[in-house]
Amino acid sequence: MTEMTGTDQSDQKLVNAHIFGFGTKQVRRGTTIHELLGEVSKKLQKEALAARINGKKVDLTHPVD
Amino acid sequence: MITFDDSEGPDVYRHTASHVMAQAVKRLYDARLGIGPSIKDGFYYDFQFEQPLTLEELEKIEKQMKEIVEENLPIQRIEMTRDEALEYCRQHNEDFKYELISELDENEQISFYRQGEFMDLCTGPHLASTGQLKAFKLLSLAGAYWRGDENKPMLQRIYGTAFPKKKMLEEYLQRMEEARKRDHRKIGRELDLFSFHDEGPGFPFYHPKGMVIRRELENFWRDEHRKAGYHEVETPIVLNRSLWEQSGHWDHYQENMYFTRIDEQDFAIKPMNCPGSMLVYKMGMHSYRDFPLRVAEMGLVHRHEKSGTLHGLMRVRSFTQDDAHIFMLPEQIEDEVEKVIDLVDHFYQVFGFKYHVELSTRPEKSMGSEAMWEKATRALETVLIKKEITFTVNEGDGAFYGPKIDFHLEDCLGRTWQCGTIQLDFQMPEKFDLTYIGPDGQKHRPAMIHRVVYGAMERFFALLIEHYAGAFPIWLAPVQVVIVPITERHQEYARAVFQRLWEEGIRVELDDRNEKVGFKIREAQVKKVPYMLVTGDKEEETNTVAVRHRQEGDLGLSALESFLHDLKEKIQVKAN
Ligand SMILES: [Zn+2]
Ligand SMILES: [Zn+2]
Repeated sequence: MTEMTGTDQSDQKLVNAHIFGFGTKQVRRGTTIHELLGEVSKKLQKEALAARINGKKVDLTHPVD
Repeated sequence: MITFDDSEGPDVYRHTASHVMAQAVKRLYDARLGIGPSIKDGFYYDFQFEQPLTLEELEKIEKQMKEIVEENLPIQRIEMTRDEALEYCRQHNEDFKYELISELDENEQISFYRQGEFMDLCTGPHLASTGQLKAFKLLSLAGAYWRGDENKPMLQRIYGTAFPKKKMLEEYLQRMEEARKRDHRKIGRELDLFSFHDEGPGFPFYHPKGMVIRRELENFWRDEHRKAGYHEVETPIVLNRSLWEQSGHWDHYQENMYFTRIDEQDFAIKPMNCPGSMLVYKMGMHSYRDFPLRVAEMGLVHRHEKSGTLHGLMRVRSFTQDDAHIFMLPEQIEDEVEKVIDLVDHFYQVFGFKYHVELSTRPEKSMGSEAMWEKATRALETVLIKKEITFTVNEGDGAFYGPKIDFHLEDCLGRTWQCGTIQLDFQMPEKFDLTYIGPDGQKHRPAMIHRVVYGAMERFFALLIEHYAGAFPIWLAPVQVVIVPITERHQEYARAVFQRLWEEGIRVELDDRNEKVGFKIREAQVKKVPYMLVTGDKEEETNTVAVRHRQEGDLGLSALESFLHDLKEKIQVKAN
């Protein structure tokens, strides 16, 4: 399973999201995981059912923050 | 990311399917929600219906589910305080949900999931929308007590499954169909092997044909154990409370035990054979020269299981364990564990079972010191590594008195079943103050193993029925040969053939009913009898039999004596 770790407090508006196996992506705070995946891999976006952030299971509609 | 191929993926996917089913049910019926989790291979939801649901209505619910998928409703997570959540459930008459929430901590944030007009108490996660569900099917309907408690209301449980591809669903349904055909409860009825009665829920009745198989399994077991240096004992089923207190079962296992009173004293029906076996050991003096001492017992045990979990012979309340306790010097442990592994391997090979091995470590509820557990666990691990057996580790899944090695059989449908086990126990010898005299003339504490090969005879029997789909190898077949005379005039010769096989110990039946040969053969086929011998004029003149095998069909004429010779050899080598 691939997982992601969030988040970075250095910028108010932007946040670094690391998706295991797909590298780090800088996105606007509040972007949903589903939207984030679309920018990373359309295939992954299509196949993903849910996600883990720092180990916790969340919905794809969960915002990255 | 969690996709369907991850271990958690199907859970998320099917849990959303269960919500969609609940939404469909709420649209169609007056019903209250129980709980609706995903389970292995599928999901269920428990409902309390105003009018009991019938099986025919599942189709209607499925159709409504398809509409909800079509509507592609976004699935949103909503958080509430406990009070808000209780108020919501009160307003919507969701009494069961109300009960669940009222047990949560007062300050807990409570999450709900909403899709369209439907909202459900749930921790999630869920798919982003109902449109992501592709292939699903509702499979069955069952009764289930609220919270598994017989004193609480009986709800109706709808089972279903869901897959991201239609093909995956179809393959799954095909596998299920094959499993249904092989279901030991169905075959057990058809072949008249065993039964269950309301008078003894979870307590199996063996019929004559089932008993034949059971005895063959036991005979095989006795032969092999004698060869492996075991002695057999039998200990009582009912034993005094003080013994169970000493063994620790009274404190650790009471909820699974049955009790009775004799002469105003408490007695328990044994859930395990060990304490009885300890008493036998204590009867004599033991020297290190007698070790390892292998004491076997085909012991009938009783364990309470909730009625909802009973399942044919797979899960029963009384069963016979092919138990043995091995007493030995600490330095003999590895050697003995290795011998037991070899014995187990031999048994499973005879039946053609593949298996895998698991090592289970200290559970939360346990007795004994950390050091003892460490020592015992290392010993088991060392043997597995030495024998180059690949194994998985189940943290915290050991017995309360020691770590164990479990053998999980794989059946023809790829399902696995735990059967054999080897449990090390440094604690019971302490509890029962078992001793032996060492080379120094002093008393010492022996090490001990509990082990089973079949596990429970009942469960192993069920596994065999499904594994062979009722077509038992000839050494186990309840009826090995049926003789079918062509007409009444051939009955005398048929009887002579019957007599000859009977006196050689073959389990043979003579079908002398006034029916057509074809009919009798079809019936023997249905009963999965390995050999059918047709006898007519030609056979009588030449002292032969026309041999028919249940799978291979007609095998032609054979001299009676040479057929008998081959048959006995096949039985002898336990050919499949
Ligand atoms: Zn839920
Ligand atoms: Zn035992």
